Amino acid sequence: MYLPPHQQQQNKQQQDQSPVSANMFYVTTLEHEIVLEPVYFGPKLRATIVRLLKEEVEGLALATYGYVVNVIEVLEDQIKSGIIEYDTGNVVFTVKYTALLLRPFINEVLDATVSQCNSLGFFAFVGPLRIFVSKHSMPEDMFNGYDGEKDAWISDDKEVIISSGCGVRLKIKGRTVESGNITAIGTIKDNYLGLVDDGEAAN
Amino acid sequence: MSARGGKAFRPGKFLRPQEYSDDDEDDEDDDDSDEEESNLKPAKKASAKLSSSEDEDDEEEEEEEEEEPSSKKRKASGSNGKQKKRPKASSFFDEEAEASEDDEDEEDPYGTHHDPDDIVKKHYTEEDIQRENMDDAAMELMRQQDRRRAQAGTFGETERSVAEMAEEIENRHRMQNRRVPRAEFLEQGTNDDAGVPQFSPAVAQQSLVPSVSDPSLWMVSCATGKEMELVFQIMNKCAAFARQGRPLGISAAVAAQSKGRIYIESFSEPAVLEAIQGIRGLMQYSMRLVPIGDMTTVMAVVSKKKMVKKNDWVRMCRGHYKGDLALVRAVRESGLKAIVQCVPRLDLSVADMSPEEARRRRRTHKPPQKFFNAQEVQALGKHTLKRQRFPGLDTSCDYFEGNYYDGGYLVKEVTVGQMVKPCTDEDPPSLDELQSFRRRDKMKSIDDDKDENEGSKMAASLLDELSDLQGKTSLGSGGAKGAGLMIGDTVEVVEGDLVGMRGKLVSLDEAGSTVKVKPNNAADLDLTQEVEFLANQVRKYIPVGAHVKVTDGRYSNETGVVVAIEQLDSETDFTAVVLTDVTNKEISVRTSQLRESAEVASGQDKLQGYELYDLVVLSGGGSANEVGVIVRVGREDFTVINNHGIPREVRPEELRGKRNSTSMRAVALDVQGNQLRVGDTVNVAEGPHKGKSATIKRMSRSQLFIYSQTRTEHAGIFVVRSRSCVLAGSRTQNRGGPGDGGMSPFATPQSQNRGGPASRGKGDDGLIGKTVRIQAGQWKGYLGTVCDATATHVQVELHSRLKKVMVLRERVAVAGDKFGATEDQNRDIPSVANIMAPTTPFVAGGATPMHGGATPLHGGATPAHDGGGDDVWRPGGVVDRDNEEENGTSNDDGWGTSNNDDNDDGWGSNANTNSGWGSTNDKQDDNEQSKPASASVAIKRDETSEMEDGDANETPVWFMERVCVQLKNGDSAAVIKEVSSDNTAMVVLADKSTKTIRVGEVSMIPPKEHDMVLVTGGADVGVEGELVCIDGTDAILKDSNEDFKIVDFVCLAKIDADN
Repeated sequence: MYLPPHQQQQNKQQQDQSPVSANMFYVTTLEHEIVLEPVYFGPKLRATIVRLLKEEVEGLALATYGYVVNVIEVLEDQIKSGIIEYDTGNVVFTVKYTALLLRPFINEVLDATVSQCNSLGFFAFVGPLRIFVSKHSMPEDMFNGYDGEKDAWISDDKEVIISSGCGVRLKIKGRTVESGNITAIGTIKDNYLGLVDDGEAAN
Repeated sequence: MSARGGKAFRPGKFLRPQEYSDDDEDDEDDDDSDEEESNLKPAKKASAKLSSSEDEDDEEEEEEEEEEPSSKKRKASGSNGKQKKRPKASSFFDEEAEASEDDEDEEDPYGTHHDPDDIVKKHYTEEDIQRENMDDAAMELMRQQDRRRAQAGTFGETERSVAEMAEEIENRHRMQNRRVPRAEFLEQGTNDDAGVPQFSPAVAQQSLVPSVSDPSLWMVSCATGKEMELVFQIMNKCAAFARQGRPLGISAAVAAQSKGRIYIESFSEPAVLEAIQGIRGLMQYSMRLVPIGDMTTVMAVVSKKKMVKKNDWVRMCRGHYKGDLALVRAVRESGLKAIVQCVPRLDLSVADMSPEEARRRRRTHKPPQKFFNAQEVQALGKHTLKRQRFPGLDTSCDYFEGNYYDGGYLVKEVTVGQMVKPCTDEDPPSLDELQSFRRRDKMKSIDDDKDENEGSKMAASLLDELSDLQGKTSLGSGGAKGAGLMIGDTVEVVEGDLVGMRGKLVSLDEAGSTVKVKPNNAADLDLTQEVEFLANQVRKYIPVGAHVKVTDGRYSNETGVVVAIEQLDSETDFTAVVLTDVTNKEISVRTSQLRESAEVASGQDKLQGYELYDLVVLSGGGSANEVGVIVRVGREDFTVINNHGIPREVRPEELRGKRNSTSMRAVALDVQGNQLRVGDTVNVAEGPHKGKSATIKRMSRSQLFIYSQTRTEHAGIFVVRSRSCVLAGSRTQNRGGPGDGGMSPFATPQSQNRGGPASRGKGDDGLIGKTVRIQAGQWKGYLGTVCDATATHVQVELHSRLKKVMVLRERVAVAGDKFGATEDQNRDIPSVANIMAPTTPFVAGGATPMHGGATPLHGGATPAHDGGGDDVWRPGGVVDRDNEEENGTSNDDGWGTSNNDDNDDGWGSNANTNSGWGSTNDKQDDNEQSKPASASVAIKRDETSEMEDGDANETPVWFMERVCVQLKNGDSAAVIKEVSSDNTAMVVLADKSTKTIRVGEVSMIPPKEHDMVLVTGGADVGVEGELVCIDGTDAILKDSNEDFKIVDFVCLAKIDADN
């Protein structure tokens, strides 16, 4: 059977799609090490540990888990007695906590807010996650549609205008994990993807 | 054009003049095309040659020729080619050939050659087959031998007499040795003698090289264009002399390709002299012997000179430009001249020198290639510059010192072949050359192709082609080894039954022709673990979104993320569009050149020791200390964005060193007076970049070079003044925490605790630890460190005096950070003003991220806090103070209590312990000054009295007179009137009635703002005052002397203001 190249491509993509059982948010129990200086020792030690844990962990991207959106619970009774580091005099506590995580999955469709447009595409955010949508991942009629003055991507028929503040529905195509940060590459070149909110309602 | 005089001057052998002229015509034909000469009429030549050598040979040759076809036919079929080459062959030969063919048939006992099937059927006995086989083998041998002989040039030896054969062999050997008998004057071109077939081209060629035994060659100059005419004259002279019986002693006269020269071949120089004697147009005195080694080159056929066409690449051959690449813009004088453009090599400094110096410099110094810049030249002011049309071109050019410059290029008319030579296939323009040839107008955007010089565009397009070509060749070379496949790659099957299957490459065989692939979904396919494919059945699979590294080609070593995979028409390979990590550019690379990799490389980012994002000092450009950050590293130059945010192209020589280390040490202050360092994240609060959030990459004084990943221009760098930024994020704010040594763990929580009201006091945190200058009041002009701050006041520890003073916030100006004063002092008032007016956008912008950092710190225990009610060291602190104050006058309750058990004699006051209790109680009634003591006593007493009244309720600190309390049973408010020793107190209720209550029956009313309060603990214990405001756990109160005190809120007790 002959298929035009782009359809072949689509077919391949569909083969890729494992059944999407993945959810972008999930809760899991994690462990973290807190290093405390002796000045913090005192009646509020546990509170301090919890506070430091939240401070250190929330907003961080863990390579295999994704972004820690929120520390839901710290199992205070499970905070074991710490171990003194002989070199520094600091004490290391291993803390277990349950956290709400945000993790982008390949081929996941999600709604994002456009933050910035440039001549190569646009950046959109889903919470802390930054997603880049290249012009190659836009519909054909937007490929050359960058308007530098308006700082927006405009389709040939001028109907779709993606600019900063818009909401777009996009599909994650790939992600890059750096230390403490995850970025993703997305596409809006597929059915039901693209602009979902022109951002004016918010203004 | 050669005229062979050889035959003409041997009277004995010379044939008829008619034939001679025939021969001559042939020769002319020969000269016109060399191929003809060599192979068209070999037979004829052979016959001529032989006939000229000996009379008998003629007959023999004829005989030989007669036999040749027949023998050929008989020995091996397919002599057609030979026949064709013999136009002389008459019908007689054909008949003869046919007849012999018939003979052969009859002679052949088995007829295997012509009708094998028939014969085999007729004689189908084993013996016959055997014989047949044997004979076949024998025949094969014979045939081989014959073939060899035929190649060696011996034909049909069987039918010849021994004498003939001997003659033949002798002849052959003579030819092979090329021993030309002097007497015979065979012409030099013996290679024409195809009558003697050659062994193999290479050997034959070698054997043809002239040696000392051959006639020599003389070169004679003549007027250009007259060569052929002169050769004819010599030939005629030759013929005429020969007819007169005095042959000239020359063997040939040739006009080779070289202009203005003819060559004469002879064994003796006098013969040549005689031959050219009297021939007009020949310059006799210029006659020269050609060395034997050069003789072949004289006759070598030079391929026709390549003409240059428009848009051809050529190379300059003269002067400074020697070897430079140039592009032909137009061709003149039917290809003799061309107008070319190239990158000029101008030396402007020559103009300043004396003529002699200039000459020397021109000789010794080759100026570098640089595009002509009219402004630059004009700026020197010494040169006249005008616009002028290039003659013959309709482009208007800059005219400078006799040369024309168009769009930076030098445009020049040159002679083809002398001043320029076309680029040959062996020496095509290199990538480097093309890149330097290509000029882009840097000031204009890249898209603006209109103004780009055509030549530059040509270079660009050729560059693309080349890079494509490079990709292809590397692909080609890789193709042999499996198209750049490496073990571990993910591959996709593109051919065969399993097309579309993906898997991991597990092995590659040595030749690279087959690969083993482990399918990704082996279970589904019901396959074994590994499947083997041909290397060309699979291709490297790179998914969109993968992080890749370019392994080959023009973009080698770049890394980035694949944003798209495209398949171009008529291409088998896929092209990936890669968004590079550092420069944020899109590049197109073949997937075969990619490798999945987590590595982040910056591509080409080094040039002469400078790297991308280096802070560099720029020379020139007016200001002496202009600095910039490198945002692009090119092959020869950088793009630097200077401290005004203006990008500039600079060459490495224009840079005067790096300032990275300075940048690392630098500290600037943001709009709120926060310290900014390299690596901090800031929000831009004003200016053209307002609203952006980015990281400080470099800084120079108050200019921040900020890097934002989302920006594509200038590698993400833009420039902002530090005063236009707000430090963002909590992480960055207390980043210095542990690293700052012992100071910070104390300072940070303390400062957080001492902040003003939670709602608006965020700016306060910034002020603590800062060096400030007091600007008004008693301490005006003093410098000090802020050790405490409230919304309205700051406590300043003076540098010059051992003293802490409270000053109104408005009266201090930040003069530096905790490391000392900085030079910039004029920024303080706005900073304070902003802190005081949190509604300004600056603070609003900065408040939110900082809020997150501040809040958790709020609850922090503060060991260093001298008044902290919850810290572990507090008792000691209090005791110390009590000890100092009261040791002499009254009993030290703290010590007394602690020493109570062990009756140790070491303390003088020990004996008074009991009386101390008593006296304290007494004092408590009437002496306000003793309240601190009583407070602590209350605690201790409670501890000791627990047993006696069995009451678990300890006596709170606030349990003293004048304190407002709330009755737990009736929820009504009361004021403690009098505290008795047995943990009871008389309280006055709101309705003035009195009541006696126990400690446990009342609770303290938490003080509110503007209440009168009593400090019950901490350094200021006993102080009374009005509560001004509450900030979290801290409270500010104004004492009777109108001084402000900051105390822990928990140490406050509300007292009745009326009493």
